[in-house]
Amino acid sequence: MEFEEMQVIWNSQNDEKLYAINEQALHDRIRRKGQSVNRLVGIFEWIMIVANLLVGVVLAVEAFYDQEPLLYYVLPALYLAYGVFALVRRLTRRKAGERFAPTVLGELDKALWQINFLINQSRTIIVWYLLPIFLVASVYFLLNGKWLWALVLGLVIFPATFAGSRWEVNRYYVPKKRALESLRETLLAPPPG
Amino acid sequence: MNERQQKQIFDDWLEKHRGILFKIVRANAFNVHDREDLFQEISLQLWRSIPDYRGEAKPSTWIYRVALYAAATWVRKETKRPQTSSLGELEQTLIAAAQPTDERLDWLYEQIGRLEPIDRSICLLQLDGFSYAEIADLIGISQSHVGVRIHRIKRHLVNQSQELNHHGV
Repeated sequence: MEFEEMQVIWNSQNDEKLYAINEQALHDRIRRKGQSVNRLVGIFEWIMIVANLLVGVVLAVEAFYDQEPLLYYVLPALYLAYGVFALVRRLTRRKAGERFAPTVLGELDKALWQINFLINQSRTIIVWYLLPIFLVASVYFLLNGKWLWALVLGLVIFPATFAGSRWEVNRYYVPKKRALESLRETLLAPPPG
Repeated sequence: MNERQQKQIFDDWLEKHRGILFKIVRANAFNVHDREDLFQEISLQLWRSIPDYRGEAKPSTWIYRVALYAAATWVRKETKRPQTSSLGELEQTLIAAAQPTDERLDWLYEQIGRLEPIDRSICLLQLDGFSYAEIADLIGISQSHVGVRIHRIKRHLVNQSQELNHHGV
């Protein structure tokens, strides 16, 4: 059979109605699953922005009214800085999502960019957010004689959070990233000889 | 864009271009469960893509792009999952119509399904009348790359059909 004949066979199916769609079931399914990832990322971002700014302001006001030394402004400053940082990250993410070519390769690059963004964000949160906050909080506890809390924070909560975050990245994001990279390689690989 | 407008566009696309989805599903999934799963995945990706659609490309081109990408990622994910053939908990959204089947068309789909995912996509586009330039634009690779792949795909399909004839099937 020549390819032209295959083309004729192919074209013959255009009038066939192979399937009927259960539209109600499809809409229900989409409503349940649709928008969930983006919406969850958006909600998480807004929680981080609002919670950090709010905690930062509350702690700063409290330190001001209690006339605490300058050291007590470090923690609220960290919260406020992260709140602003999270806002900038959100804007960057949304803007960057629009720059990819409207092609299958562009979709792939966008998905890869998003997964890298999440991996990077997970690492950034540990090093530049949780670690400084835990360190400063531990110092507060030590200064106030609550050494047991400082120990729990430094030896239990921080390592557990760090391990949890690494696990999340390695369990979910890295395999997805590898799969996308492999798909991209296949897409761009020269045809087999 | 509100959800009602999104639904309106989605329903319109589904009504006019469902054939594209069926072809991609049939070329990439080979049992009832997988076809259902892939159809739902493609529909979901299509739904999500609607707010990004600016009308610069024809809806059919847009649908092809979204659906081919969804199918390629689905195929990669599925090959790593244990195979299942029953519908299980999957809600049925595709109802097969009673149609006489064309064995030659079944054979063609089977052969397309044996190609690697990128070649599957290119083959579907070629059979649906897209030019090399359009395929290159849609996939994001060069026209010459498309040309080489199409040449090899055609040769492969013709060889397979000759082999089939040779064995008197």
